[in-house]
Amino acid sequence: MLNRSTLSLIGLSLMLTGLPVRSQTGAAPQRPPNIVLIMMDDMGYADIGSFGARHIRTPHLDRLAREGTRFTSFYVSQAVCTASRASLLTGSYANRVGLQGALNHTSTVGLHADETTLAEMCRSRGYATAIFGKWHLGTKAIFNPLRNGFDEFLGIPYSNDNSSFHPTQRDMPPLPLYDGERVVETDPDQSTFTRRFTERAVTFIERNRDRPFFLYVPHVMPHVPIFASVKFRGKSAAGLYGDVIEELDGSVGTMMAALRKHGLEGNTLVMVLSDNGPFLSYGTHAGSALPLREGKLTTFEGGVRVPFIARWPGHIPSGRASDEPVMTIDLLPTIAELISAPLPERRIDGSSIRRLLLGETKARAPHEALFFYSGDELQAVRSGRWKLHFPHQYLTLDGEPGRDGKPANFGNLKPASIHQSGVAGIATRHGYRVESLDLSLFDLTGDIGEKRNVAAQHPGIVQRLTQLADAMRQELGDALTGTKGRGVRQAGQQLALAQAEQLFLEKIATTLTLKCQTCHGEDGAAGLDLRSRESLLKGGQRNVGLVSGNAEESPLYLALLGRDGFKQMPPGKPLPGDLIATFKQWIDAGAPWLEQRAAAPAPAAKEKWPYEENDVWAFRPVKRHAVPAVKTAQRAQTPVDAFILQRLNHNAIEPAPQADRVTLIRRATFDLHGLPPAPEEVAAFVRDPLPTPKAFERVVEQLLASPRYGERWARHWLDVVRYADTAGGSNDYERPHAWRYRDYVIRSFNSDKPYDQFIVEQIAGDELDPNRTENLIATGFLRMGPWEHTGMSVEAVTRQEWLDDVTHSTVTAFLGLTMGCAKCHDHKFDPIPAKDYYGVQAVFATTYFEERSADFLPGENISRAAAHNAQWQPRLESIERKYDAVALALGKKPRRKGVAQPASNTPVELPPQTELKRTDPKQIENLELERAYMRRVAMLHLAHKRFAPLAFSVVSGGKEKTPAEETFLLTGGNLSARGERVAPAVLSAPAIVQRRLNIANLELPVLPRTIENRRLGLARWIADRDNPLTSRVMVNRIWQTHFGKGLVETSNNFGKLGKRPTHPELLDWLAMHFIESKWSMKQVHRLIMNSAAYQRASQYPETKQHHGNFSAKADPDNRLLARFTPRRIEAEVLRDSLLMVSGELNWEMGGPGGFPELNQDLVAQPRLIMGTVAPAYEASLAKADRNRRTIYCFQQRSLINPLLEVFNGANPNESCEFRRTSTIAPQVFSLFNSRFSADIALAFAKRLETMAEDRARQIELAFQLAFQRTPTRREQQQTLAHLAAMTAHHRAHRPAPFAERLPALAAINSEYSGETFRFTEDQDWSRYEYNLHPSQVSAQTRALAEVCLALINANEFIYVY
Amino acid sequence: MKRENIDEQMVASRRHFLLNSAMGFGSMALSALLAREDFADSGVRIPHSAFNEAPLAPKPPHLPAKAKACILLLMDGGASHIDTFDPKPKLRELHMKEFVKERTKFVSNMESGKRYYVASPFSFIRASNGMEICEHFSHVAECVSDICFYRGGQADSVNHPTALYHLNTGNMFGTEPAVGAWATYGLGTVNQNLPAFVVLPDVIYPQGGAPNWSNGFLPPHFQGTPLRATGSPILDLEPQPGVTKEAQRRNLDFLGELNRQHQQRHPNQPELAARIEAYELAFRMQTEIPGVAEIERESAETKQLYGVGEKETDAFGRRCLLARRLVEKGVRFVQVYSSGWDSHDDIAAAHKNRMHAVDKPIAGLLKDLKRTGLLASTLVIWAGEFGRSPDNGVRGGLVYGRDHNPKGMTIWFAGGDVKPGIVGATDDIGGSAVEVVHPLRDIHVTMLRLLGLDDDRLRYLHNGRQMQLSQFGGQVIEEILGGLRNG
Repeated sequence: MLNRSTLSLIGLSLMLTGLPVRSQTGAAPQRPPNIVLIMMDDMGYADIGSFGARHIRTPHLDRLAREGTRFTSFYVSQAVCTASRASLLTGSYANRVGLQGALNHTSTVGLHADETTLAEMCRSRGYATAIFGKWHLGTKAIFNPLRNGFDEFLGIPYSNDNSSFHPTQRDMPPLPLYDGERVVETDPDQSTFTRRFTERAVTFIERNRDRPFFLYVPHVMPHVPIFASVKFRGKSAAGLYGDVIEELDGSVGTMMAALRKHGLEGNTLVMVLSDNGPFLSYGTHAGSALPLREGKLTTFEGGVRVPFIARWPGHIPSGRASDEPVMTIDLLPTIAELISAPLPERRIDGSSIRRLLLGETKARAPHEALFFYSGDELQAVRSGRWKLHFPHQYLTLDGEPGRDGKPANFGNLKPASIHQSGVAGIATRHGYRVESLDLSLFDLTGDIGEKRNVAAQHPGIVQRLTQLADAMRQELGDALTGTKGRGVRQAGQQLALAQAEQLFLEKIATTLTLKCQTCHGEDGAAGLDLRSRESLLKGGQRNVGLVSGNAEESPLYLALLGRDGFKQMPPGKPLPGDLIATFKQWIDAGAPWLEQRAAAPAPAAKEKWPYEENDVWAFRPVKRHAVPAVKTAQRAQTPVDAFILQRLNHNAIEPAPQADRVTLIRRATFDLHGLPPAPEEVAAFVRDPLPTPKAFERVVEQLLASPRYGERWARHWLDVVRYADTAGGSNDYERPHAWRYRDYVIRSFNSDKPYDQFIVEQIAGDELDPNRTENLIATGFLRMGPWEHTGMSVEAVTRQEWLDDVTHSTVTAFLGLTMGCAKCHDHKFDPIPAKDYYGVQAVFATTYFEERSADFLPGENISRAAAHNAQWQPRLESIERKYDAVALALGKKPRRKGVAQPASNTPVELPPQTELKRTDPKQIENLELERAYMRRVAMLHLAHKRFAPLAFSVVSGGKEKTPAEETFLLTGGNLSARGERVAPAVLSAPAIVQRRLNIANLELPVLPRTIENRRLGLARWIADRDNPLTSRVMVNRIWQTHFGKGLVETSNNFGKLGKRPTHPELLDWLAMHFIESKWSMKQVHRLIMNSAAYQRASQYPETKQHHGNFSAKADPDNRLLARFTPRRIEAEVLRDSLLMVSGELNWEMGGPGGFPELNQDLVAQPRLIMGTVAPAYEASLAKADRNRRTIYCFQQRSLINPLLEVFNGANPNESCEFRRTSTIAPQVFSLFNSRFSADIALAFAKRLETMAEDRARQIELAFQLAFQRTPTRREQQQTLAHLAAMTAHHRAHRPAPFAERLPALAAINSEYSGETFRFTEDQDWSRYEYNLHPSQVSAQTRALAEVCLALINANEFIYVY
Repeated sequence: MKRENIDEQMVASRRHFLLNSAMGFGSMALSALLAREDFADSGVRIPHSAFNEAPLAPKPPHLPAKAKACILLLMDGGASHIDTFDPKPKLRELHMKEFVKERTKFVSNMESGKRYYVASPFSFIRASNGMEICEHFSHVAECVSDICFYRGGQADSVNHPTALYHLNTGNMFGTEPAVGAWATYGLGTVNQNLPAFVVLPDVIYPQGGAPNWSNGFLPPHFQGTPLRATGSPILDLEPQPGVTKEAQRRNLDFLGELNRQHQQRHPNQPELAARIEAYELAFRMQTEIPGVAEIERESAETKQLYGVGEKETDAFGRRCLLARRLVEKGVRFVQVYSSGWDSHDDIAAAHKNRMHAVDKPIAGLLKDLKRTGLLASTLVIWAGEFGRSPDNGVRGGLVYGRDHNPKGMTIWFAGGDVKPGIVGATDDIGGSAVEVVHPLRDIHVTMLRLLGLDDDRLRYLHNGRQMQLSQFGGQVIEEILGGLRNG
């Protein structure tokens, strides 16, 4: 009976549910009810007091029942976790949404993204949503609750026995505990589960007390293995199982208390149920469903009928019970009605039971029948009081129930694989046996235990129920009758598909290309074309190629195995077994082909998260760290020191003292100028009365202000961008304007151009402002890599080569990531999917090469233009004359105008009728010369353009504004295997990582798809201060050059396989400071060089070494920077220093590169280029031009100066992140034996003789110039003695005579004859300015040169301390 | 991939000194190595010690293998398989008939225009094993019982430098280590006074030049050292003309004195010692290398075997003989170039001359290695960067040759544990391999396998990626292996 007040409240609730109506009537808007849905796992029908429990006390649940309504015929749709939950959350039979049974850690299916969940529905009405407990609707990341309408998730993805606790399965992975989408713990202490979920629920209620919320608490307990917390353990009269239930009951109480506390009790609909019946095999660890038959996993009442309590004061009658048969599928539509949410668009099976819930007197269950599936089998149907079971197998206990967490018959279990499903599989794992049930009709009114089969007595009812079942079979299928359901929807499969696509990318596509398509391509063998999915599905003359989703019926697969009458393919060697298995997986997963896939929503990395937090550190935001406090006694000259001292102190390593002033200025000058300091600069610093740090500050400022700084630091950047003056490849043609880019970089460093501007200019200067010359020159960056297109190469291929190169090099240079891997497949280690690779590539898809008109800027050095033209013009004419002579002899067209045409110039028509024998050696000579001269003419023309006002640049879209190029994901990096279409994009990794780690919601910029401004978009994203990589990467590059090692040792790789930063806080502090000082690189130098850390000595004083070497022992690699790591000067620094000390260095800045003298044996070595011999290298005629700083030397990719090469110079074809230091014997040959060293030594000796006449003084000066110090007395004496001895020797030995330079000889094995052909190059050495030759000086000078040679070979010369 | 593994390769900082020291020595290492030059053959395993970590110290192979050294004979330009070791009689029927190929966007200019089938201008002789070999390879034909002719190989590039880079380094861009660099990285070398990896170029360096024997990203110890036929065999090996050995020695001593005093002031700098030692080693190499290069020391009979002294064969014969001398002295890997095989035009003359230039020297090398017992431990490989096409365009209406063909080529192997015979086949016009078809990377993996190296284990961490010769793994062509098969 309902009392009056209840009735009136019902009236109110009716009004409440019609929200739109209410607003029309002008009533005050009222908050829709909060929903709290609590579900126990495997709790029996009779496990709570109000449903018949005897030994278990459930006061809170009982109170709930008193204050609300109990439903005694409440059903779940299937008696197993996943299926039951699927129905609860979707309002549909589990079979409709494709989720039968229970998922495990290997499952690749889950709740389909298109299904609307209860949470999504509530969210659509502004509800806060949360799930704390077991999800079990898909274990892969894409099925995470957060993707299904929940704002919060704390819990586990599948059952808690899917872990090391599983009684019979081995090799279970650790159980993951998720918070949101992150695994926060593995194998958590399960006895804390109930408490933790409850606590989280309480805070959720608290946090959302001011807004409607949907709280879903699917407890993990009492599913085996069961655990109770200490507080409840041993308290119940029903053993551990009772403890667990009592704790769950307590949890309900706690949540109710929280609702009360926040005054929400009245407006909250609280529901409690279980997901299915008890797991009876586990005996003492399982609950009870008595008097119902059987339990979990069966369609008997004990499996599917569960307790259900609903409480909503004032709406739901209290103390009432309803025996109307309803099901979990009805909750979603009911709640939809209560909160005025629209029903899902997809068809659902449930109906609203609002009236029933609210206790309306005439309310009845909405369904004519309820259907009970087990897996795909429709086993039973209930209509009214009748329940009909169709003949089916079922699980029943095998012997005595198990004890203490073990299933029945535990000792004899031989579990089948976890992959074996169906009753048989379950039986083997959980101690059941399989029994058969005949067609059985039970009258539940009198036989709730399903004991008496009355089918024979009621054939009409059997018939009626059978008809009802038939209709359902048609709709949702039935494996018992082999019926396919037309209303069945696919479960979520995305990940399986994604994995299959991954397989396709990584293995299948490559194999098809390499092993199959050669024969089965266009017009393929047996009519079979394996180049597309359609043609593969279509198949060849005899068979289809494959049956999607079924490898066993796919000829492709069977042919790989050579089975079922299919001929073994590919012919010869079968593919390896694991590769064939991969084909099976791929076909079984639906044989996805990337061309088929529609564009997936960006960002592409979202579906993959195999990354450890530690591995993605570089994608986290740059954090502002406080400068640590350090003891005042320790010198902390800049904040840099504080960070470094912090770690040294922590490791109890004492830092080395400050280095002496000579060491300091030498170190700083080499660092900033790439040259030794001049003796007078050393003297000035040593004499400076200011304290060393102050005086040194001035030195640093002076060094930074000098143009030498830009020359030195541009070299580091050129290493990264692979600068060269030639294109590489077969011909290695000159890039006559590349030098303007080199000078641009030098200018940028010297003017301390803000780094963000430096980035944008290089990537998109032309788009930013095409009228600014500097911008056009800067974009030379995009073309710096080696690249060549010849008549033998395929245009589509060489274009793609450039696209790959620019994609990789841009990301590597500015973001410190390697991209090469992502060209063929998603990056294995870093969150860079292949799609992102092609997204960045799409940025460049509309970019074309162009030499753009760009007038010279005032600072650019074109002073040699006139001299250059005067020299090269006659050369060009001379070679053209020679060409014309051989062309005419061959009957071809001459180059120069006005030259008589050959008499017969008829091209010979095809085909050659006779096999001509070409034995005339003169003709072969002419053919060879024609090729050689033709190439020389082309090369001279290029050289001629060095002073043309053009920039080595690019243009978006080209002159004709071609339509925007489309970019496709290339399967396996293969140009002919186009996959999905990809739009221009930035890397998604930083945004993905930050979102995954719940740090920030970084917006990914959307790049224009127009022809223009794609690059500008990318550049701005890179140069954005929120880009976590850009600033870190650059400060690290700067740091590396000062300390010999980066804070991140791998400066081109900040990804997983790179090194972790040694001082992460310092790196971030510097990066932040860098950004805040307007990206000033000079400011970073100041911070670093004025630190005590930079100024430390490389070793400890003698006395201290006794105490155990300090950092040398504790930190042999000096990662903590307690001392300065000495290092060898780099190749270019070595050459520049040699020129400087010898007085030979030409300080002229900028302009086209000079051609230094190279090893003559190397120069004389003919080199093959396409079809002919390369022109021999020619050193500059003017000595000054040969002796320029190395950065101003012409850099030819195919002819590296051996001096630079042996001293670990950068390979100009590959981004060089760091110069290594190897000591190899050829260095000795180069530095001790070479002509260059001999010339330097002689010039040095000559210089000393002009500076002083006295031998001792000359030696002193030599030491000062070479080592920045005066010789010790001992050294002075030894040197003098050596000098005397060498003078005597040289008096007795005449030097080799001076020889004039002759034109080089070229040689080639002729393609026409197979014999060697030689000719003399067209060279003119008459105006060559020779270096001083030993024969031109005295024996004394030659002896002094020997001393000088030794000095420049000395370790002291080549090491910086 | 295990993290420790990476760290081991990356950091190695404790070994910093040794890794960075000269051709496989640290001061303690060198004497030990010189004293035990032959240990690699003695089966003695060097206990774990510092010198074991020197970059060029001999290392045991990953897998059992007979070959300890490799001589790679490179026919620069791309020798025609059709005209040498893979005759195609069918082409005689088709000769000068028009060859039609559909034009797609993946075709280069070279392949455009009207094209005709071209028969081989050469006759073929039958070798002792029944195989037909070009008449101009009659000396090599005498050695067929030692050779495995592999006709299933396929390259990717139709361009000389990229194809040659691919063959030599596994990568088409000339930025990665050559096979010889990988082999010496994996096996070290037994003679520390000679470069481990030597290159014997023809009169002209091949297209693409030095990257063909580059150490790539490996430390420079593994770089191929070209030994020049004339002049100083190694750049700047000798002091400047007019500087006597005596003067050089005295100056070296003076330098040593300066360095020692400097070292006393910087006692914790092992690199300084390494550099001092490098000067001493260089001095010794100055003596040793010219000695090895001195082939006049060989008997007249041996020189005659290689064709040394005969006009046509002298140059290549000297290189082959030098290759044997180097291998004998413990050099691990030798590239020997013969250039001029790019016969687009007048293949009859050009290929004939090329074959004459190399036939006797190659046969001499095989015979010499065999009679001295070195063939069992020396893998000899003959290859061009690609094969040649069965068809040809008409180039100026002159005489016909053949264009590039990466899809069909012959590579042959001898020595070590190679199984003699014929493996694989091309189609009946030699256009493309059709049996036992393998890409170059499988050939590389097989080469390494024959030297006892496992491509999947021979890796080097570079720019955050584990690099390997095959780029991303390959498979051994088992058919080429003799006793190693399934081993």
